[in-house]
Amino acid sequence: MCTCRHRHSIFCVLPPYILKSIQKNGSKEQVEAAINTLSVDSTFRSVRLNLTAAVSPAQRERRVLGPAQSKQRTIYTADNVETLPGKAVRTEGAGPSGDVAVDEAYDGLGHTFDFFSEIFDRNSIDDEGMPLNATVHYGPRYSNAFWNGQRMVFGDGDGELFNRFTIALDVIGHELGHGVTEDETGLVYLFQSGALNEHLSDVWGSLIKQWYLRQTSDQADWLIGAGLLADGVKGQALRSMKKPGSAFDDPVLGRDPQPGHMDDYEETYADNGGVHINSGIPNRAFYLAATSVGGYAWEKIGRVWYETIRSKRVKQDTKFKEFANLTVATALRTPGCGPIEQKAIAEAWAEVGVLEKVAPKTTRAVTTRSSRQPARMFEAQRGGRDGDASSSTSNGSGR
Amino acid sequence: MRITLERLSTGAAFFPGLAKPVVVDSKALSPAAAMELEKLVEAAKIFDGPDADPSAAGRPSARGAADYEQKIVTVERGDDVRTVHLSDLASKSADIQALLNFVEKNSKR
Repeated sequence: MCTCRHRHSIFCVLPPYILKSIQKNGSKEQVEAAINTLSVDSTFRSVRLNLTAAVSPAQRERRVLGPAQSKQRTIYTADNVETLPGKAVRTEGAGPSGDVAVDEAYDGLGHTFDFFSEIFDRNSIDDEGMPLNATVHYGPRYSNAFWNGQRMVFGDGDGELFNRFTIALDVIGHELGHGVTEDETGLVYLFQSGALNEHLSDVWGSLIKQWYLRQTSDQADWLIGAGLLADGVKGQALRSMKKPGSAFDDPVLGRDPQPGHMDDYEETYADNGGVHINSGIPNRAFYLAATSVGGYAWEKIGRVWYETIRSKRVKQDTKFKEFANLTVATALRTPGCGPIEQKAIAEAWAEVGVLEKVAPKTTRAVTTRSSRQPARMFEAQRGGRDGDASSSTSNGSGR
Repeated sequence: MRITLERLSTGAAFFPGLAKPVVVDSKALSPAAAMELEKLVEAAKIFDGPDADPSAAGRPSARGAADYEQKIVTVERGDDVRTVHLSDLASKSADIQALLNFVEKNSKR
């Protein structure tokens, strides 16, 4: 917790260029706060960049030569207080505990691990056998699930708006998927890169559920968090990849704010710059591509998405257009995929307004990146619909 | 005394209804409830605690963290105004939690 004298709440998510403007034009108090923020902010950003660059080729090599893939799950209970990690209540190989949340978390982590192992030959979150830890019964009536960078944390819900958050396998996969995305891309959890981060977790969560249920793309519901909303709430899930904006419309929760097209992209500072809002756009592109190709979504389009994040071409500040171009390019070098999948992916991105509606070339799309100087990274990061200057394709919307 | 609770992010999904600021005004409470609120604010050391780094709320999150909730609590007592930034990524004291529970229970959107 931090306490401080009153300031405007948007200071929490202000990008550097606005802070610099305040530095020039604000009151004395505002100037002091802005200078302080910029100083601390820059330090943390530098630290993060250095940490990301610290993954050496040797470390990557170990992944190839690493130990056999095996699950190492530990489920903890916080006993309804906000303390982590809590008390270990079920470890790998132990039988069911009889506590529904504990056992759902244990099984959900297992299905998630198995999915990544069997489908993508990935050894846990970091591809190096990272143990999977989760804490359930977090907080009193806590209505959320989150990934804190090291473990998954699940609340029991309040019983009025939300059920327990372990109830949905795709939400468990979603949280663990954040670990995979962080390991492969480091996508910054703000604005468009944050929305891509959220999108990728929805992809993994949905694919894990489809794989577990052995559903083809036309059989899947493409909902994220079905069953999470309590009885009486007007809604069916947290999000819909098939029809963004249709998951809930409730007097208390409000209306699902997700757009499904770039024309409706929401510029906002709330929600870390709309990470759970604008993710509806790439979500729908994935759904369109997967259903266009047909069959099991994890076999082709899911595989293309996975190969894309493994390519090391998705960076911390990658935005929609660049990611779209990368998936189009990756389709041709993904095992089992070719021009048909590439065309489906290009058309899907065009359908949601991220790429232009042009006949896709069957050669690899060329994606060049502009300079990634840290000083301008976050300014471009904020860039909403305009921010991507590095993409080879424009959607023509002037964003 | 007036307390405003604002959610900057609502966790694993964005719920516009939950993101709307909620307000508790002691003038609208019963005398007993208003006194309880005063005690909760005192216990949470909203005004007595040391001033923290004003930039803390703008710091990057824990590396790779996602779907965490972030809240801003603003307490107005006469001319004195204090803001507290809360995140799932940092543990909350029991006193702060008790204040939050009171606000959630007694607030109007």
